[in-house]
Amino acid sequence: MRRTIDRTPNDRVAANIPDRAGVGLKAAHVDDILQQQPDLGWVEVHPENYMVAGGPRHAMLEAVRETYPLSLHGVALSLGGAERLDGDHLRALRQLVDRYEPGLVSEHLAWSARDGVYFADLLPLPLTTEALTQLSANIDEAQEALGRPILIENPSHYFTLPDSDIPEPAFLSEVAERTGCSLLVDVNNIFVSANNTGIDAEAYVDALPIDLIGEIHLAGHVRDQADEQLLLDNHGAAIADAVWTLFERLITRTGPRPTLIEWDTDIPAWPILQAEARKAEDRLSVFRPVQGTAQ
Amino acid sequence: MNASPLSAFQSGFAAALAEHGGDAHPEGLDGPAATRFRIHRNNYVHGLGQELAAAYPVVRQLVGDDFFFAMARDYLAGHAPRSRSLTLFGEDFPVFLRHFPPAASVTYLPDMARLERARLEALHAADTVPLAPMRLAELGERLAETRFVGHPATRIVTSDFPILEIWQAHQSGTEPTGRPISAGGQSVLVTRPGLDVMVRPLSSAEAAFGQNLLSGDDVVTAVDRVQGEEEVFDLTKAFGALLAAGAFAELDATHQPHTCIEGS
Repeated sequence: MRRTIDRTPNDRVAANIPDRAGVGLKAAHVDDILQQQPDLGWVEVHPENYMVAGGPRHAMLEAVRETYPLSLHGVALSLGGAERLDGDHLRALRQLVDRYEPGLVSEHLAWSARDGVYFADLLPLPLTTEALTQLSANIDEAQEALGRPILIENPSHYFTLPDSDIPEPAFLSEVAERTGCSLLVDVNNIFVSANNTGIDAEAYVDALPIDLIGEIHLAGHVRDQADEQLLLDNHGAAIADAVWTLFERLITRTGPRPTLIEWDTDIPAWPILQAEARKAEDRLSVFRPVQGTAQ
Repeated sequence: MNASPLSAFQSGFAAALAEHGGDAHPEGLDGPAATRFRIHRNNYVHGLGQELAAAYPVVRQLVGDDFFFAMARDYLAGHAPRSRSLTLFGEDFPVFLRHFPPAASVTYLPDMARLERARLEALHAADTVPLAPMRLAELGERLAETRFVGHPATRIVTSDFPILEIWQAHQSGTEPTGRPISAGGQSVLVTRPGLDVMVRPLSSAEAAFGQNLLSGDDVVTAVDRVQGEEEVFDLTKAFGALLAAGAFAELDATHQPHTCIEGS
């Protein structure tokens, strides 16, 4: 039991996240992963789940981190909030960055707290010039506190906010230009948002600045039971065919990028998640330059 | 100075999210947006209900899902999360239950919540190697004046109900077996010497002794303060139980008697 406490960082694989498929790490799969050591590019976790002093979560993550590069994907920084960032949370995040040496650290174009209350959700904000300034200042502060650049993810939208006047791809491009952050493109979120707000998903993908894309997310969604026009980004199903098609459209432009399969509710047995990762890997391989072969 | 448009928007949005029991939506959202605002409301209320359920699984079993999640909504209305990590959300739930009349018929519910909270805190407490029992043998007569540092995971929960038996009866994942629950109170020692949380029963005198030591008493004082208890107190047995369970992290060096070590 103590082996996980005494281990030094030198026992680990390098931090760098390859342009391969990875999975969101779930406790239910850790035994399979540690025993089988599957050929998996990398894993990702929500750092908020590891903001505890000790115990089995850290032991598990230390063990997995030995063999796999790790990405920290935050949900609670509230970068799109009109308030200052939460200093305690930033410090806790920095501690995890120092401890686990993640290859990537990412967050969302969203807000999640107000007046000290944390709403535990990725809440939408109107994309305006004011929001651009505020978000950029918050990203600057986060990157300063963490001592490294981060990536920002496009969230799912369920409705249009009346005051938004900047298209999201243009907004994200401008934020990246101003702050030096990169973009995490969630293809399922584009698909869900396009369905729910009437934008054109393909045009969105085509408008993204390819050089700034450092990571891609893929996940499943469901149709809402009460409102059949509505898609919910529930991360609880296999990735839809239309999302795979949109993913192929994106990587045709970008080439291979680190691509994560997220499956957070109705979590399947490990072989099913692994098969989804293989599907992503197969698609990435098509766009991987083959050594010694002229393009 | 007026709030900025972004700040005003978020203020209104947050107020609508936090409104207890209503189906409010923020000003400025209309049509489908007003209806679909429920998704975010649900993410907040349902999501935090799930967090509370994960932290208090036996409380949930004892009252049933409908009652539990209604109760969770009431709790959330007065105890919105302020930490960005939800792992330890629900700290005040045991106290909330003590003053929640609809649950008053399940008399031991607040105590069960205290036990489950103690286990959750122990699970995520700092990793420390427990004090080895043989360290006591080395102390000899100095034991009487020795103080101890509690292990970060150690908690002692006392109850007027057989709280550990009830908890154990709800661990199988099936319905309680129906075996009789003994009368009388139980005290529970919660520790985590390795990665697994351990629970074991203590007599009320053992629990009092352990609590005295954990609050910084030296051994003589801790024993003296237990003498008021009615039951016979076996010091060796009490120490054995606490040490074997890994209740302590260290001898308290700041209060060590005879700290001058020969030859140094």
